[in-house]
Amino acid sequence: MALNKKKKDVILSSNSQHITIAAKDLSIGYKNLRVASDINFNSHSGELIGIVGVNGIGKSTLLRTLGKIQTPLSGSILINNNALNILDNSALASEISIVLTEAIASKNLRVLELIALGRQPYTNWIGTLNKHDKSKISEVIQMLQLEDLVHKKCYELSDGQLQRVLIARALAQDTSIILLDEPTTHLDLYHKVQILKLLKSITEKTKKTILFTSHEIEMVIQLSDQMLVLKETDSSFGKPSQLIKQGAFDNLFPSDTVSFDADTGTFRISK
Amino acid sequence: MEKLSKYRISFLLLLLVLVLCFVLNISLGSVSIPFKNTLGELFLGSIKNESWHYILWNYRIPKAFTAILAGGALSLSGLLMQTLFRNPLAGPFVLGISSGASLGAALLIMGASIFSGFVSFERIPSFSLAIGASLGSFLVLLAVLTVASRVKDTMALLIIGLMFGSITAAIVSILSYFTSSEELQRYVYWSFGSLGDLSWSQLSLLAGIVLIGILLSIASIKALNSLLLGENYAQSLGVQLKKSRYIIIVATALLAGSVTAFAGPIAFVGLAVPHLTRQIFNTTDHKILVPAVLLYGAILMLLCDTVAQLPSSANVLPINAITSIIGAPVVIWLLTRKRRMLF
Repeated sequence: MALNKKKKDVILSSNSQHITIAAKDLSIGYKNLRVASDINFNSHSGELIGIVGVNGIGKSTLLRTLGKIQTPLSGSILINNNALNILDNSALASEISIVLTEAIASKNLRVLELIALGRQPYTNWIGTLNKHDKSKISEVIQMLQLEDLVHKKCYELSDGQLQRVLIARALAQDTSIILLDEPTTHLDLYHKVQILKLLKSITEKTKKTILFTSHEIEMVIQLSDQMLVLKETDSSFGKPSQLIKQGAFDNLFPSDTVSFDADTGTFRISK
Repeated sequence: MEKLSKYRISFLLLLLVLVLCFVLNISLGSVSIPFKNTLGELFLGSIKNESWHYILWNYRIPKAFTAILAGGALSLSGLLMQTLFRNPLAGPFVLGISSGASLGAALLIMGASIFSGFVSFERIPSFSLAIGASLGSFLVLLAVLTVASRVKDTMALLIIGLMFGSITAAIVSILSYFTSSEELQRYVYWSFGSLGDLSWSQLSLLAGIVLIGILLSIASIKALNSLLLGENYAQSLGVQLKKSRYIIIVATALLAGSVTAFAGPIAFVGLAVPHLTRQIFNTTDHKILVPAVLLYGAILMLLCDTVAQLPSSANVLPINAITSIIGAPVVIWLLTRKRRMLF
């Protein structure tokens, strides 16, 4: 086991272009409703990837499909070279962690308890934390500067604080991939930037792949390494600068309402 | 998640209180037995008085044990339901378990005469009543489980449980409309709840079933903790959602179903005790909550039973009424103090 892990580390360090998620000809949606198809992308370790698109195009659906909360309609997803559909829940739990938009069920949880839950895939049958688990938890708390919050209850936290705590929980799960569904909703401009910069620094420090959906297209263009612009049939994936050149943002919204300015990378309200 | 040792003193204290409540419970009753004789009887086995000996060993002690089992089991099933359904108002009654037991008891008591052409059975022994009630709760649960396998949403399951409860309540009403007054009275007596009707053999059967329920709950502790985040999060943490849900529901059925079968429907304990425990222990970790809820439930039920038997009077009040009178204000107090019910 230890040898195996070492081997994996060597491979990771010798090849920083290790593919974490490979989606091929992916179609997503529900039984009677196909929301988006022909989605193709590869993500690598250490990349921050923003998923953008208009409302209802299936950003959350894509994220939920990648997290195996729902099944794809067709196409394939490889997670660290393993097919997603053959990974069972417990194997997947050490590959992918998630942060969802839905409220956590119990706001009565203390912050420390919540973060500790991230260690569940590694704990014994009753969930006892060992030394390694505890050091991982305190490492995460330090990294996200949550020292002052750990003894608070979740209902005492502001939206921005809760979002950071949920990210901490995902980090404690210690997976190579983290999926976040709209981590910046309900936050003001300052906290939006704070969260996105935090995600950026996490990918740099930990070499994890972070995929997140967002409506803040301009911020995502500035901060992310790769972007997926989700459209019904012709989604495009690449570096933000490439996507601007390709004109991927030009007809994202009806041009009589907002238009994209390629020079500044911002959207303008059409007058 | 947290160290059990941090709570060791609290648990020791609770155990002590439990023992005290037990002694208090068995030393009070309609026949007054001097306290030191009760202690002597209990710990030294010294027989001073034949009738005292009989009352203690054949009535009061089994009743106290029934109270401990009923209180602990109902509270634990309430905790399981509240976490599984992510609803602070959930309790053993919501899955239709208690109403299923009521239906079983009603069919046996009142249905027998109606369906056999008004030839009433002289007396139905309480043991078969317990079996009838168990069967009733098991059948309703089976129906709920069948529907549950088709429904993904736990909230929908909660409503389905309530609907099954309404259906069984309606059938009980129809039965009571057609039945004779004597049988109706007998059913009403059953629905008052009673801790005192169990023989030692029934008691050991109840204890066995409750023990299985407790073991299943302990096995689910990890899943319960991750369910505090919600089902999607729990799944992402590696929980086999469907399997865990079944185990938790079966545990609830065993705990609440067996108690209701033997002691009749007892309200509010399952709802109120988990909230009380969370307040006092200030944690959401089920590793702490499961044992704590068992102890608190047992203590509360012993106290309720002590009140119900109206010390030094010949009357015994229905236990179901006492738990409601004590339980409902507790829930109201919790709500007004915290403004919201969290679980």
